[in-house]
Amino acid sequence: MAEEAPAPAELAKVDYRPPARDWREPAVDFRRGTYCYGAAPKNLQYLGLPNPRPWQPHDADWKLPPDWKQTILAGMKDRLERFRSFRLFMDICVRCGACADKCHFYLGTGDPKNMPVLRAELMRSVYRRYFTLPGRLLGRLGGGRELTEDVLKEWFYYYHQCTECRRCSVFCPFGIDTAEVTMMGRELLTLVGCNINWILEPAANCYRTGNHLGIQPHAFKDSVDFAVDELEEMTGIRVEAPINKKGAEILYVIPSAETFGTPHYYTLLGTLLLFHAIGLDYTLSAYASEGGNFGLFTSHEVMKRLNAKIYAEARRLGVKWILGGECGHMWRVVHQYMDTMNGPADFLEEPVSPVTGTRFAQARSTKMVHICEFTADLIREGKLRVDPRRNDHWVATFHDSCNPARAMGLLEEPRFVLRSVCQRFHEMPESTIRERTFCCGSGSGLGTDENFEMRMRGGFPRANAVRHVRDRFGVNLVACICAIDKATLPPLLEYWVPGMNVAGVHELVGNALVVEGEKARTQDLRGQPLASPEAPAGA
Amino acid sequence: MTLPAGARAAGGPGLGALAARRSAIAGRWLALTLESYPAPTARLLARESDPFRNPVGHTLRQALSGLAEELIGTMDPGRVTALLDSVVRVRAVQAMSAGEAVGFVFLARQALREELGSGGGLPAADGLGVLEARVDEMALSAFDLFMRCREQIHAIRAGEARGRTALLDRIREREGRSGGGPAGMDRGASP
Repeated sequence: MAEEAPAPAELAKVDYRPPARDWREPAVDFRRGTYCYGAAPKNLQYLGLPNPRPWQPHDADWKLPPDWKQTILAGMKDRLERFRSFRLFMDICVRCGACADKCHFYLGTGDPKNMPVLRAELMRSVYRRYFTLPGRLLGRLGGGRELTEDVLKEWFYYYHQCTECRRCSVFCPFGIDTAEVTMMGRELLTLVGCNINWILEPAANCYRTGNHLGIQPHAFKDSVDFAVDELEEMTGIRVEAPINKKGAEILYVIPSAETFGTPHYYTLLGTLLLFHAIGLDYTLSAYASEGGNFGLFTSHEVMKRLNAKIYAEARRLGVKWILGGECGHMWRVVHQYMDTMNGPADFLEEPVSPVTGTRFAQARSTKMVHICEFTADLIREGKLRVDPRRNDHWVATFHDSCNPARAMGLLEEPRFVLRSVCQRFHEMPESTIRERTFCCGSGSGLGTDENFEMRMRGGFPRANAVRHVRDRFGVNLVACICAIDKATLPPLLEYWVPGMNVAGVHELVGNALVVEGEKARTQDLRGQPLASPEAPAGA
Repeated sequence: MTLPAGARAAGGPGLGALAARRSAIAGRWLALTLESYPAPTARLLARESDPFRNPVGHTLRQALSGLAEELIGTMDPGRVTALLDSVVRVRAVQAMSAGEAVGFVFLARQALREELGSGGGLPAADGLGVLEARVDEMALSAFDLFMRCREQIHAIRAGEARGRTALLDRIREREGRSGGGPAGMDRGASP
């Protein structure tokens, strides 16, 4: 007998509720737009990493090595013994939930596995199963999970939905740094060749030529020369931008994007003008031509290798100390890991500003000073002449980039600089700035276009706060001090807050800087007309 | 999208009396919409009222409240579009099919029936017909907006890939010019 056709009313019943699922079920749906592509074999080979082969996360077969499970478990054991913090973070979480709603990815995706506590639990459950007595004896009842291929794929998916921004750790009463759990997850995945290309290609390029795009020394010089030429056109001043100058007092390290990307490039123009104005004896390096360190997103070993070039160049060039530009995670590496990885940098001197005589005691160990610390000191000591009216076409807010803000506590200096060079400045809501700043959603190597939807989800909390200050104060510019922000905030805001601009702090410094011998400024460093163009000198 | 005859008539038959029920209708609509999220997330989205601690929940609450007002009010096209856009823009990038992303609009029918039925204040047949036509109109607008968001995503993605090394292209362009000065920047008139 034929089945009875359902009544129209039955057909119209649509259940919009997602099926209830046990979080321990690991299967992941790799939907395009929400994950990053696998690393090309050539990049693994270049860095000497295991299991190079063509593969993609959406493939059913990830071509794992036959002994992948033993490799992961042995890697976990090794790291539990080497890094006390890792074992501590595996053991001490009491699941209080304080971190749960602090993650921008959880707020934007609504996926419970993006609660930091649950994301870490994806690994803790495996830790319990293989490294604790209750887990070994009782399995699931003891809170353990078998390590299967699906679990490995789940790790890949969710440990690349964490930008290692550390906002959750601000709220953890035990001080668990969930970003370090993600870092361990990515390290373990690296052991079996499950990396993403957008991280490994820049890392491999950096290892070869010193910067993410693989720009060779002559091309790096071309870019800097181009900036010098354009700056002369705009200001009438020809600055010097020395590269590989031995015996210079200071090595200046920038994110390489300042030489090839916008709006980063305008920050380079601003700093070149600043160094000219104060007569700084500095040099760029064509090899330490990148502050960014995608090793941080790969493994401790790769991070150490990439960080070493900065200090090797400082030694080779014979500088006294290092000045670092508007880079994000470079500062986390320098501030939190450099000293025990490649330090102490005892061949350098404790940094002292040649202009103000200020001793940067906070950089006594790393010998590396942030450009915002340096410029804030210049302004505070009255060594810069600035005309903030030149930024009157901007109504600015400041996005605290995660790493300078949370990893090194650089909160007030960029604000002091901004308020000095820009008359119209408004803060975003307190719960979204300083230590509690929301990530751009694209940090830690996730800022690639194939991951676009996930970035829009993760960046929504930040964009939401930007929209608030746009609607309330007419803000039209987000200033920030991270190259990844400068690359990824523009598309994020184009989607969520159309019409918003993004700039580096030192772009605004360059706009406002009054330099001896310059011609009347009618445009800012990006060539936009000033709100009040200046009359030519002598007019 | 054309509106069914009579649907846009301000405060159609019996609708004026619904103004007092707006908040209950919006609340029910929100509760039904939140069921499309996993349970722990739905609890957070419903509970936390701070717009910055709960941007998605706040967006949904504000928008559905406004849309409920429009449903039983004047259906102002500008306001309806802006409110729908705020929700669809979020759901267009979340892990949902197109149907799931815009399906929240149809839940307004259920919310209306449940709220008005339980209160005994169901308007005359004409009134309910007008309301349902308005829900349909919103649903079609939501689908248009969803498509616009998806097209925008692809356009931004493509632009991002092209723009990443725009400066290098300019430098190459300058080097390729014979005897010329620096290539012009994208900055309007030269200084």
